[in-house]
Amino acid sequence: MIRSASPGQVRLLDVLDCGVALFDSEARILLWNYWMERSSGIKAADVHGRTLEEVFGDQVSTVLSRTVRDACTDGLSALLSNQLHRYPIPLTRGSGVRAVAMEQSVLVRPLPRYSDVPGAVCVMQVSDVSSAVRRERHLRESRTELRLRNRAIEASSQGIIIVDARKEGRPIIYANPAFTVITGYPAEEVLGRNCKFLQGPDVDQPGLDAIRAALSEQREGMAVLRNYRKDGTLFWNELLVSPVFDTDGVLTNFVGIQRDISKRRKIEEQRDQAMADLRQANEKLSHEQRFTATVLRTIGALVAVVDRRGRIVSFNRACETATGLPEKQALGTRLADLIPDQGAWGYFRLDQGATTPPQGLRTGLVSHSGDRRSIRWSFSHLTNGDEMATHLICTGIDVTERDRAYALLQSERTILEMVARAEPLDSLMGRLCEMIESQLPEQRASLTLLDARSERFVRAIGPSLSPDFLSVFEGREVAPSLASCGPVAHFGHPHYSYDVLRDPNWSEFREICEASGVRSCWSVPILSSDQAVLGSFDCYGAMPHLPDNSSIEVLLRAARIASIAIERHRAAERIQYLALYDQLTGLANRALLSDRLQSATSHAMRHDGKLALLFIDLDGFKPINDAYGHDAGDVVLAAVGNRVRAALRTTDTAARIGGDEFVLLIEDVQNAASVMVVADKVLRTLCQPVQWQGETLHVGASIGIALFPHDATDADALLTAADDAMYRAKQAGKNRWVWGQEQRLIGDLGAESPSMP
Amino acid sequence: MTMILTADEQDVVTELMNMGVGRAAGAFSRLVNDEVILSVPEVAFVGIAEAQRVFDASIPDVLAGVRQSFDGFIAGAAALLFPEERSLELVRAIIGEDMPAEEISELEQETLAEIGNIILNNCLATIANALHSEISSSLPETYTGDKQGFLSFLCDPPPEARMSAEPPLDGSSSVLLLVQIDFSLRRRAIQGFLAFAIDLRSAASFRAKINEYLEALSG
Repeated sequence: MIRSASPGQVRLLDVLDCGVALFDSEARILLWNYWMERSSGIKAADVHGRTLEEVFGDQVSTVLSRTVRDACTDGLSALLSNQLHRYPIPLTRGSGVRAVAMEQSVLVRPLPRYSDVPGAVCVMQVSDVSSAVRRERHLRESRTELRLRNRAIEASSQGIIIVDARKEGRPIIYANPAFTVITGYPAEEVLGRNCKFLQGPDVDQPGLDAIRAALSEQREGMAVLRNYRKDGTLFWNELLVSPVFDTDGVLTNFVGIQRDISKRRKIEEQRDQAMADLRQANEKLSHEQRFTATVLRTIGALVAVVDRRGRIVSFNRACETATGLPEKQALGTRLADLIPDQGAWGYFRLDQGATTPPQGLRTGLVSHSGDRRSIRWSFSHLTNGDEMATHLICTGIDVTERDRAYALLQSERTILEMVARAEPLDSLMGRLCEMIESQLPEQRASLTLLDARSERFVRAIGPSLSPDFLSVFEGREVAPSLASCGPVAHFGHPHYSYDVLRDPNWSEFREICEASGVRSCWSVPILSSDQAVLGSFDCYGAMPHLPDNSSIEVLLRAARIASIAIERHRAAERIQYLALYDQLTGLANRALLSDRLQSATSHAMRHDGKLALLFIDLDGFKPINDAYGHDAGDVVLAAVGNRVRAALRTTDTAARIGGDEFVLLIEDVQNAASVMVVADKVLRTLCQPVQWQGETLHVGASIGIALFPHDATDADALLTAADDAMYRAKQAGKNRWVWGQEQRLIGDLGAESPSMP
Repeated sequence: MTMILTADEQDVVTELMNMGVGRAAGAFSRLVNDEVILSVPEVAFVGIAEAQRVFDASIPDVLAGVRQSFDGFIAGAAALLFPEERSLELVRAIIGEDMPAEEISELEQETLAEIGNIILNNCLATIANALHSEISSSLPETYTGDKQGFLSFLCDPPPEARMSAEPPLDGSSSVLLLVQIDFSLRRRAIQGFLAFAIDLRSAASFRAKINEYLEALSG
């Protein structure tokens, strides 16, 4: 055994970190060191004296076997490299499950003549190159990666330059082909130069500050710069500068990445311009649309657009107001459905059945709540490119108010004409009520008139209201709590009762209101020109309701006309009174007496009736006038007037026909005795003294009585006869009455002789 | 001194070289799986200075080579030379790696050494067999550098000799048997050549062996 022969040497071989085997001339193993034992798993004792083929069989490479044999026999040294002979002998590294085949490098050579081991002619040395293989594989991979990156940089369409940041002037040390394409500078012309030359005359552009600022913070900076190509042309360079630091954090390089964005910039500018143009056009369009929409919304005219089949596609604010329909609901419905005049339906469509509307077409328009308005229409067509009418624009003007105002004016004129013609007050008032009712269709109107002193309601006029209802206020005194006319008469202000069934003022009239279908009452005062209340104009509705401004306006106008009519009527009555009555005594004057006498004689003549005429002349009146003045005389005359009136029936007439001359006309006389009774009564009452400023004034009367048809058969003759009789009474000593034809009458009438009072 | 061979001797050397290189080329051809084309060897005994002139004229400036020392009936060193940029391409042609030639790695150097080893061993073994002599070779060593440096590398003693007591060869004691054989691969544009440097001190026994060989042929 070799080990026993040279133990020290064997131990040295055992500590080597490589495999060593010695062979004899027959290529048999003489030595097998510990490394070989460990790597092959075969003990030295088990290999000794055997060839490699004998130990490993097929697992040893034939090249190795032959090489060992060549070395043993021919003395040739050989190397079995790892790349050509990866596993010459089956060796492993590691142990257990982690054991892997060992990458090897094998040296085989003949031993020199001075070999220490007897019989050994060849040595085989095996080295484990696994780690070298691994290291180189890793190196190769990273180099492959690096090469790919280099290729990518070379192939990049972006210009890439690398600058040495540690050298003075920061020269360019690399420029890729794309840089040449972009700038026109070949790499060899820029290497060693500072990249400032690209800026041409435009040094210190603002974008550079951004890059400098970024680099000072050790991050990459980007800017768009105006750069110049080698041929002097300008291009827009989007430059990204990225600093590179070594492992100690020291800045070593800058990498500049350039992109020519001139084209992109131009496209962007064109796009921005196009966008701006578009935006401007849009703004203009939407401005026009807004303008149109605003006009449509604010104009008072109704504008509705319908399609060919008459369905609404646009419905402006005025349409909504007039119909009470929001546009949302109106869209898609037929405009004709809102028009009650069936004959006009064909005008509001374009398809079959459409008819050409006449100029100034007027139709009704029914609102959502049932109100009917009057509309005057005009039409125009919307056409498409082929001149085909696609839509009909219906423009309507609401003439309801105008029609109403026109009707009101007409009515007012008619009534004022009636006033001017002095037509009877009641028919005037009736017409006023009708005028109100035509203006306010849901209302019934009446006038409740006051007496001359505005203290009491005398009567009510209202053609549409029942007499029962009208009579409830007759004779009632004015009071603020009396229905609606009461406060109106009391305060002279309008009074509107929303619901008479809930209004305390109306509590006592509830039944009649319910019976008459009256639910609301709007009352306005009828004021005279000097603001005295003449009455109340009342408007009754069937539903709880308050008047709108136009209704109030109509009521006030009606009240004004009523006031004119009443005042006109009263003035006429006054004129008539002044013409026919004596101002001082309130008795009829000569004209009225003559008129009455005439009609009385005609009447009596037709009916075989009898009349009596008493001619009175006061006794002792002139002295009073002379002694106390006309004032005293007037007082006496007024007292006489009152007394004779009191002595007569209302059907009789008392008149003052001269200074102190009075005539009494007594109609329907039955007999002379009744006349005498009157005459006596007059004498007696006139004898009563009259007090005037502390004085007691006395007058008497001489009365002449003429009878119709006894004394005369016509008015004038009758008066003359009475006058004559009066003279005779004066002559007979005054303060007495005398018959006209004394003898005959006494006998006929069976009267007594004239007596002395 | 200068070693002059007779015309016959020169022919024998050429023939021997032809045989050796032919066998080496066969091995090489198997290794690279390509046909190897050989030129006729040019054989010349030259001094160091002359050798340098020959190198300057015929081999690339920068080269990669494998050297092996040999000893026996003849001592010296043999080298296989390639233009430097092509040598690793040769390696890659054999091991199939796609890497640029300038990326020289440790394992590739070793591979190049083995390729040289195969060719040189075949060549040396053939000559030794033909002359019925024994020869031993050392392990291959690679060289990368310019051609001036290569000449001294070629003439350096082998590692084994450096350890021995014998004085090293120097320029004056060496004569170079320059055997220039161009070879190329048909499919790959790779060319190379062989050079042998023979220690003058063994030249006599070499000549004796050649003459024995001649006698055996004629006899």
